[in-house]
Amino acid sequence: MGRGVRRPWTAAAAALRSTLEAYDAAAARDVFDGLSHWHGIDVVAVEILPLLLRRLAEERPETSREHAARCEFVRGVLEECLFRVARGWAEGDGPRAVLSAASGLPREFEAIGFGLALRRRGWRIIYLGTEAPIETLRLAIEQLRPRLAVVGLSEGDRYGHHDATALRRLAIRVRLALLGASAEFAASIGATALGPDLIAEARRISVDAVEPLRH
Amino acid sequence: MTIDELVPSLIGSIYEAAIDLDRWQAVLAAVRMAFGAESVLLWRRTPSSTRAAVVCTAGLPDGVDWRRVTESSACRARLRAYESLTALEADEIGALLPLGERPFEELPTAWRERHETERGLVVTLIREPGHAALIEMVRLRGASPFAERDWDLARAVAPHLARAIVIERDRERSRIRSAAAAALGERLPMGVILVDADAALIDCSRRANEILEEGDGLYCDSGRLSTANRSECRRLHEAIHWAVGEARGAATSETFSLSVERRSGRSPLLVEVAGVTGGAAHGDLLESQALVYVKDPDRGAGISTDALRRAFGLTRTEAEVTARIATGLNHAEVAQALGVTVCAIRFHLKSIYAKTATQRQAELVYLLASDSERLAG
Repeated sequence: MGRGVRRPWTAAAAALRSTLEAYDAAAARDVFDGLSHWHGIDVVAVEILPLLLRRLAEERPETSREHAARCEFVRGVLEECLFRVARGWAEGDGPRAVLSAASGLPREFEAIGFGLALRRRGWRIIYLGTEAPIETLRLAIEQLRPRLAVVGLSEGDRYGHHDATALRRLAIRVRLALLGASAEFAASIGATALGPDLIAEARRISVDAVEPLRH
Repeated sequence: MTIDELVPSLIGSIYEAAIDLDRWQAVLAAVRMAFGAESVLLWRRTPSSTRAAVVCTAGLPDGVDWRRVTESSACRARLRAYESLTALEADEIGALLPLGERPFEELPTAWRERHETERGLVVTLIREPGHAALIEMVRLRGASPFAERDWDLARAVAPHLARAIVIERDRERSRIRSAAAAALGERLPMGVILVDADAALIDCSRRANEILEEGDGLYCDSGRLSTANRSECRRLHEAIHWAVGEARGAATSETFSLSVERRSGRSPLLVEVAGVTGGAAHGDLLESQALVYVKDPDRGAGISTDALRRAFGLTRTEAEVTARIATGLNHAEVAQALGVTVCAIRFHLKSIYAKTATQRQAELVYLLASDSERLAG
């Protein structure tokens, strides 16, 4: 299958989902590790997990309480899996990327997944957590001089249009990529909006930022 | 090395520690080197903790276990001083350290007198209601005092240490909620109630909700888990408090058992209390909660001893003990039912835990409930 072609990950998501629905954390970790081994952690993080989360959201259990409990369980187990793989991602000598995720699933996992996709392409990732204060972002950019800053946006969040000025100031200092923003909004503040195919985006950004260093 | 050279690698390490608790000590070691300090202590209090405590150190004398650091006479005075400092409300800490940082020399005399042998630099990292974090860099008296370069370094690094602690705190909360959700996943035959250290109800399973709505023995009073009998209620709240403490501080947690009388005259409810954390081990201040398992003996669990023997290779007696534990009986009640001593039950349980790959009673009960179809009589 060619690059950039979206694959149907339904079977992989179903395998992981069955372990999560059984509240079996150990089995879920095993399936997660197996999927990461075969498909790559970035594919699991930005393709399979969002699909799984969407399916879980669509097919709600009997009660909202059960649904909430399941979501909490799923979130805890998968977050642990992702961060276990992410360990050491700030190390090395590649270009730095500062990353702030939007809160809530699946956006938070997409941001971490994008960080993992960059990491696979030689980047050092400084993860500032969810909804990092703009001042922390500014400070990190000033001190670390990263090649890229990635900010996850969620609808109506503090980085909405009201704080476009703050984002615009960041975009002057660093190449700024927005997750969850429209292309128009990103362009209006001098940033880039990341498209839905985050692996392709990571590849594209890496070619721009890393390749020149190698020549 | 200049601050500009030091800071990027320190920041990278700090944010690594936010997702990997094992790295905190390395971070503090790097901070210690950067500040030329004799030792560094990270001190924290969380909303669910009853006191503030050191959660990580670097540079303490060889052989001093930081978890037992209060037993070291060399550190006792400083820790007592910290206790008094962080026992204050967040606003008061803010008043004491209004700029977020002050040399010891500027601290109030009464506080400073406890630090006669050292000079230090204290930086407030987090000042939120119920959540405080401080970092202390200590130099021995006679060493050069902290200078402008140290202040600059502290200002550069402190916001990231604070952010990393917030990330770590959010992850810990997520782990706790996940662990609790697994227990509340409607798969247990008994009721399961999630409470905080003050017995305030956080969540409960459907079966537990039925029991609480019946209000026969156990009920919810102004959001707090209560019983009709005052002394039982006190014991329940103590058990919850202890279970939460156990979950925070120890690798192995105990389960606390009690029975709750019912006004209807039916058999008393059997209650087990166990602490729950996300499983991480960053000091003894992580937020913790307790799971209260409630069993109505009038409703049987229906576990087959033959099925238990086949499934786990238990002896006949071990299977008898396991089946009774599954119905919610405590050790004394199982001992009475089988005509043996409580010591014998504990001995059998050790073997049962080994054979079922569990470590505690709550895990064993959960395992049996999870596999109830296969083990049904």
